[in-house]
Amino acid sequence: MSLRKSLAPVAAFALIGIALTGCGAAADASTAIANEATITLYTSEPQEKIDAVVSAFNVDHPEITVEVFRAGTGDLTARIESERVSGDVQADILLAADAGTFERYKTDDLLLAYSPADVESLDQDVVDPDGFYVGTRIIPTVIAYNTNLVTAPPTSWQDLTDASYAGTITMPNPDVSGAAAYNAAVWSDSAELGDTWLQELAANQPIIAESNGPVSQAVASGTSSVGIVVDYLARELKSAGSPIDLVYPSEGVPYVSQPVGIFASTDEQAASEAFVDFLVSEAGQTLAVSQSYLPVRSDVGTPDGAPSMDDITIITPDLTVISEIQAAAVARFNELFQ
Amino acid sequence: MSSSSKLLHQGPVEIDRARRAARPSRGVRVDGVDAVRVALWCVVTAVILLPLGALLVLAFSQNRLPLLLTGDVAQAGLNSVVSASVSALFAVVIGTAIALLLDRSDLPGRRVLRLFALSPLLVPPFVGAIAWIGIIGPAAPVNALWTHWFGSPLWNIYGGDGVVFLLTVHSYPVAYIIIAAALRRVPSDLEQAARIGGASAGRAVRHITVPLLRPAFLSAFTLIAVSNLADFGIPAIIGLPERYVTLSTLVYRYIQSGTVADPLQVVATVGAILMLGAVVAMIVDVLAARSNWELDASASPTQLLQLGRWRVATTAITWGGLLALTVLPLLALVSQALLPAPGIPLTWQNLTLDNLKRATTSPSALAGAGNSVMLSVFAGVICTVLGLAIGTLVTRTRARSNGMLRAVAMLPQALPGLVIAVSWLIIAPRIGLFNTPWLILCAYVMAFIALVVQSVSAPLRSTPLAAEEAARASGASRLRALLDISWRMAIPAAIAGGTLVVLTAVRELTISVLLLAPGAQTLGVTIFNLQQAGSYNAASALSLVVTVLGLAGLGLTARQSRR
Amino acid sequence: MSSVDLHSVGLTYPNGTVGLDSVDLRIADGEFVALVGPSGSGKTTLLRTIAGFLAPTTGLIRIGDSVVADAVTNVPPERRQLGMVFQQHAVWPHWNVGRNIEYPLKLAKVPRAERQDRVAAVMKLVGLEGFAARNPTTLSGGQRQRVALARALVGDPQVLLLDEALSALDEPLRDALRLELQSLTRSIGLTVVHVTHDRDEALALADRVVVLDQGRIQQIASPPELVSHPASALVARFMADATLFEGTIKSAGFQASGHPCAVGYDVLDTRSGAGKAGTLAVLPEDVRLHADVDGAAVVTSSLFGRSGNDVIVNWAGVPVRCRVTGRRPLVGERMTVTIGRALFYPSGSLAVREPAPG
Repeated sequence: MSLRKSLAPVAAFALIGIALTGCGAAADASTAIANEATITLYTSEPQEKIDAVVSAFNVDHPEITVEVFRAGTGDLTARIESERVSGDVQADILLAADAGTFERYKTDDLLLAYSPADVESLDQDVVDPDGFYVGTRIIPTVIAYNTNLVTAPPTSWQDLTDASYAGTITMPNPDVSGAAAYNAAVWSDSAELGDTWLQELAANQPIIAESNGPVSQAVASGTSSVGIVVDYLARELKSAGSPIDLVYPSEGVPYVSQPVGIFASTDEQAASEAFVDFLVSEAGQTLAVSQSYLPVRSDVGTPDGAPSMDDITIITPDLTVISEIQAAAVARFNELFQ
Repeated sequence: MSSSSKLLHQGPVEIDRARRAARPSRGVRVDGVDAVRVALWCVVTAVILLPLGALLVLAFSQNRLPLLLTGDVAQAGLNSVVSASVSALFAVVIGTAIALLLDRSDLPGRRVLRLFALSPLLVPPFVGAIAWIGIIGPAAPVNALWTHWFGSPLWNIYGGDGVVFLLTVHSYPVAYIIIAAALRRVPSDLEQAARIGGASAGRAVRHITVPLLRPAFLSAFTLIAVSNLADFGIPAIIGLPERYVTLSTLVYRYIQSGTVADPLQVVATVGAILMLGAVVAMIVDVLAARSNWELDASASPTQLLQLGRWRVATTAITWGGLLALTVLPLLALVSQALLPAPGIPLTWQNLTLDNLKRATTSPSALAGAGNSVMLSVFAGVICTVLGLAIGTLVTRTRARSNGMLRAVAMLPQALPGLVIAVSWLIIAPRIGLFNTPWLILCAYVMAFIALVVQSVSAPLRSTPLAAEEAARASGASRLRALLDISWRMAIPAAIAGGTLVVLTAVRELTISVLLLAPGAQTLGVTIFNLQQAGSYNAASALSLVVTVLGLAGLGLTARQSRR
Repeated sequence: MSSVDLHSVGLTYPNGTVGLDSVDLRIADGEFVALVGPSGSGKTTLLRTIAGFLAPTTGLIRIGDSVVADAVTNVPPERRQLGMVFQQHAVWPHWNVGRNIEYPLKLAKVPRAERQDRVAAVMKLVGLEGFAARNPTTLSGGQRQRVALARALVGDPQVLLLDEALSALDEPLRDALRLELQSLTRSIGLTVVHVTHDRDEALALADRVVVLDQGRIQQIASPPELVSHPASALVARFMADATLFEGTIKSAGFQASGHPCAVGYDVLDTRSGAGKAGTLAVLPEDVRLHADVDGAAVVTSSLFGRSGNDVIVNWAGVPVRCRVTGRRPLVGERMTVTIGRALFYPSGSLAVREPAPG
């Protein structure tokens, strides 16, 4: 009797073992048919936008199926992290975040070196000199304001330190938003702004919202009169009819470039390269412009209502420096603002 | 058979076994019930013990405790414990008041009010959060008006108080259900004996009924506190904007933003600690159940509490409160869903159906709804079958492993969804389920099987074992008697439990947000993503659809049960 | 102790069901009255109306000298100074025995010292000395009912109401408690209203028995009177298991319609003239059986009883209940039926016969 009882767990493990083996075999059995390919894309693009990108890509490449996995940048990096702990990264392509994230993956040898076709016509600031990733959109952080509440909008970052803005500013949390973390590093690195400006801004006690989306909402709904937020969100709300407008501050705007890179573990290198090519191609960038993004090439214009690229002062710091100081800058930011 | 003399002293079951083993014909005979027991152990090992084991192994592979004692984790832990216990306390108080008013008093319209009172149960907590932001968020009408009249907003829902408020709103129905069931079991003649002894109606309730409900209070409190400790949607949507971080949002942030090194391991450690807490809560619950009184069936008809001169005021407050809890969020969702973008005034010409149209036709929303329905129905079916088998086995047979089997099956109910999700995330690549919706299904089965086991055990425990003994006397084998009698008797309860699983899973967020895979985005995740991305109007539109469907479901169920 | 007066008390439920229909009842100070009737007859409704849990829609109830319910007032139960024992004892499980019994005194704000004395005294009275600290869940059914009784008595109630108080107990215990209940209530002269579905219990305990049916009082009588002279055929059947025959009074006596049963005037206890249609009630003890192979009746059951065998014969399709002494008839045996005494109730006369008190 006791033998039979002790057999139960053994039998259980045996069964699980069989089940696991079966599953493993099933996973290996998937074979690729020539030319046809399925690639998995991890991206933080909004769902509607990436759906449009994929269908445009499929016009030229109907043989490639793109399985989109959309999530926040943080979700994606966590996912990649957990995949690394327990095996290979499951994605072929990552289209998300800021250059810093890609720098880290590059250092960890997770990425495949690939320079897209036509790379020379791109804004060289967003191209990784080592050729592991390339930016796909210019996403600057700007000042947005509620047009019902603000008649004389601020025109520079410095303006925001004016005491009249006390308690009226909302900005995203750098712990959550990749762009905000990057911005914190850029601001503290800037000779013009630097720690002094951050301290002065903190004295106005800005409200720290979770991410860029809620910041744009707070400004549009009038909860907050001024917001520090990525430009395309404010532009979209403006065109939807919200009382919101945006200013590109005179000192220049920090930006993230939503880079794309191919994971070294990919089984579908050719198909992945085709997708990356499309993203930065003229067609891909024209689509990005129609989606309110500032493009990474100069031959496709700018979105409706956006200034031309030449009119915007862009802050282009040394990425290696930014990568190094980012953690400290975020910590300093949290110390000042939270 | 050398041990048979020892076995003889171990009670009737052992004698039964010894006798069977003593049969000369076939050596060791494995009876069908034993086979079922082994099979069930295999399943719970695979679905519950394996992932939790992986979590513990990862948690203890490196000492992460020092990190957990840093300010952030300690603060989040404190926030979690405070918000969960305060909201559970409020929920129990409100649930008791509603149970007494709706089940024991002469309040007019009790039947309709009961539906209103239960309605928050059908609205996913994160949808409730979205809706309440539209009522009393900083830019919502109430505060806008208040600011207009008095110069400053009335109350900002964001922050710890808002989290407690919303957790309470979404958990008092559970308290009401538990307490109302206990209330029905309190014989009304106990109260009447007090009346005859000189106690007023109110005193009889206070002195007799309420003390007798104490075990129900405790079990409602622990159940709600543990589940609120695990809630993600409300603290994420309501707490984070004011920097009110709870354990679940902190853990999510650790995974999401990688603010700590090796987040999975840190989360696993937090999870291991929460598991300890859950086990403690389970023990408390078991002890509370043990100290419960045996109450006789009542011989007297229930005497409704006469509200007397308080009737008008109580009616107004109850109706007003419950209508506000049900109708206001709906109105808020409607108004947000019909406006094209934030900051646009609510006027007739500004209203548009675009958000609703997009919410109901966008590929991601449709896929989300499809995934949620598919996953929850599968989870419901699997949980029904497994829960029925486990519940029947542990209540209707005698074996030393029964208590263990039941405890294992019940354990995940006490675990925060985040812990369950992380466990499956850890083992997913090893079992080949990574990047598939089936991972979410596994986690759902693990998380919700307890619902069915519980609903099956309760009615079975109150049926005398003679029911099976009669079947065995009629010639049925042990397994046959179990299948034909207990199993059959428990099927309605199992289906009720399975329905509960479907209803819970279809609106689930915490697990699916972490186990998200290509093609496995659930409805909850779709809405949460919209909200997080700042598309409040689209999130409201989709929430509205979900809420209306949920309320319609409640209405249908109510009509069905009235028939 | 007090009397209880009910004056044309009626109770109609909101859904139109009639619970009580102009009930007139005067219970004297110190009297033990039992309420009996088939289920749904209104006996529990009447008790609960006296207790104050139900408010009469018409009529007046007086306990002692004060009106507790009439068209305008309904004094709540807690202010009627009553004692009540419920079928399921209703002992509060979260308090020990002493606290259960003490509760009414606490509510009446009796000082602690006096409370203790009175609790001790009443516990002695019901035979629960030394049980004060016991947890009720550890008590037997009989002991719990004693706790309930002690709790009902401790406050010196004006009236003691017993709602099927003994029904949940097993037979030997019920019998013992029945004896105790009587000696107890008689020794302190309690006014008692006792609802029971057990006819023998009602007859055994009560000074007067009130038979109810469909919310109306059918008869109020002392136990011997009730058994020998039921006021109606229904009461006869309910209280004494009488067999009923429909028929008419003819010149020779009663002739059942469509049945061979016929009885002469000599055994007929009729109060009205001939020519009338009505119901004949034959009490079991008034039936005699003679074994007869050509007999018209067949024994269908024959149970042994202490005071006579309880026999049912099928007499031309009508089951007739008989109590016979001597040899116990065998099932299947043929019998001739002789009726020694019969009661005739003309149809349409439902008048309740109230016997002269005394």
